[in-house]
Amino acid sequence: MLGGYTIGYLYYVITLFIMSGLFILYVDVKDFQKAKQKKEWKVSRFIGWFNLIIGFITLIGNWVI
Amino acid sequence: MEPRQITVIQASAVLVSTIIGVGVLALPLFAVRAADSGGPLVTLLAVLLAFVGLALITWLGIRFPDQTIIRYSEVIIGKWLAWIGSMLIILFFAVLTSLTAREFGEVVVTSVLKETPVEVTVIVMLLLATISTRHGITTFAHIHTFYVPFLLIPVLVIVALSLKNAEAINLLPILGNEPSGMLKGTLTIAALFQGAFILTAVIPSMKHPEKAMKASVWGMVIAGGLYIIIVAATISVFGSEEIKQLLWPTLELAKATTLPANILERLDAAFLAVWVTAVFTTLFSSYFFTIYAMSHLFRLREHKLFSYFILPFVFVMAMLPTNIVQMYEIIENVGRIGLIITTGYPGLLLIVSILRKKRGNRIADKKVDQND
Repeated sequence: MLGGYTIGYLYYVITLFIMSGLFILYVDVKDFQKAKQKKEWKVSRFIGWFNLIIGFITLIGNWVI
Repeated sequence: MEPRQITVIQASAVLVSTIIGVGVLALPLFAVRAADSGGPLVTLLAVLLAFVGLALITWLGIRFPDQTIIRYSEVIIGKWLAWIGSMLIILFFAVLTSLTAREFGEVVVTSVLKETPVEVTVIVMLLLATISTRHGITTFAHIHTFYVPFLLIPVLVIVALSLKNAEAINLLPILGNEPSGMLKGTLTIAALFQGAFILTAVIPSMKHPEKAMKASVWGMVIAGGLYIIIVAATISVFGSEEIKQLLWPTLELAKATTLPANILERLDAAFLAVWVTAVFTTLFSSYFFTIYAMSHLFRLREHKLFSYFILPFVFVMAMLPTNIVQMYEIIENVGRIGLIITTGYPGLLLIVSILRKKRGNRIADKKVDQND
């Protein structure tokens, strides 16, 4: 890279996966539950857990490797 | 669900602020690489080519005033073929978002925040887009309309002031010395206009979708005109051979420009402030379109649930290029391939819709976002 210091972007990726997963589960899932939007509630719960699990798998994988 | 609220002026503003974006900095370089002093001509050809793509989308939008391309493509070519096309569109716009964010990050860490990691600048910009895209399409149009004057006026002032260093001879010959790269250059520059595809999401929310062509023409005239002016000004000030040595010629133009009476000796800081806004609006549109299209594809009534979901994926894609040189190679290649998706695919849909006599409701006085 021409400019800027870098420490590799893996930890940023892990943080983004976990934070986005938590945000979806704590904000969006609750909003859709309140609004009684069943399909949106189901999808948001799935993608929230999906991001959270990918984040933790990457974190553990990074420790192990 | 939102009522139809977007006016023709707002639709034009969305187009202008979406098109004018991160590519402005490298635009004169792409133009002179293609045809030396014929850069403005290449840019004009690119504007015309981009307008063809935009006109196709607009025409389709007028035929199907209630639906986005994701939904009417299913009516035109069948569910499964349309699903493949829609997935390609979504993937392309996700890649476009990531490359925009990365290009922004590289410019910032190279010229302004030299000790900040590029990852941080990319994340900050993506987060800004993520938060903004959680609102509806009417808010989206309002945000664009608000920012348009802040994009146009300073750039026009900088270009006008730079002309005192201009030499008209640098623009001759108009066709360029070696016009062999003109076709490739035209495609590369036309690719900078692909954000205009956002119109397919805007038309179903317009008060008068039948007037969408007017918005397209104005959007392209303003954004395309500004691009031609920037290329012409940069070439007339530096000359084509010098521009080939510069990574971001438009930024150099701002550096070489002074306010009268030396109130400000260089305008690059002011220009970068405007450019950050321009990048935000472009990124905002491509990010919004990605999640909006996803919600339509999966028949969801809300798009906001995808806003945080795609953030890490977009970030990973943004970090894949290893350096600026590779990044610009990818941007040029992805842009040219994208023309097939943003111009070829709508062209195909339009032909099939005419042949199969498919069209949506002519009276489009319903609510939008009818996904269920």
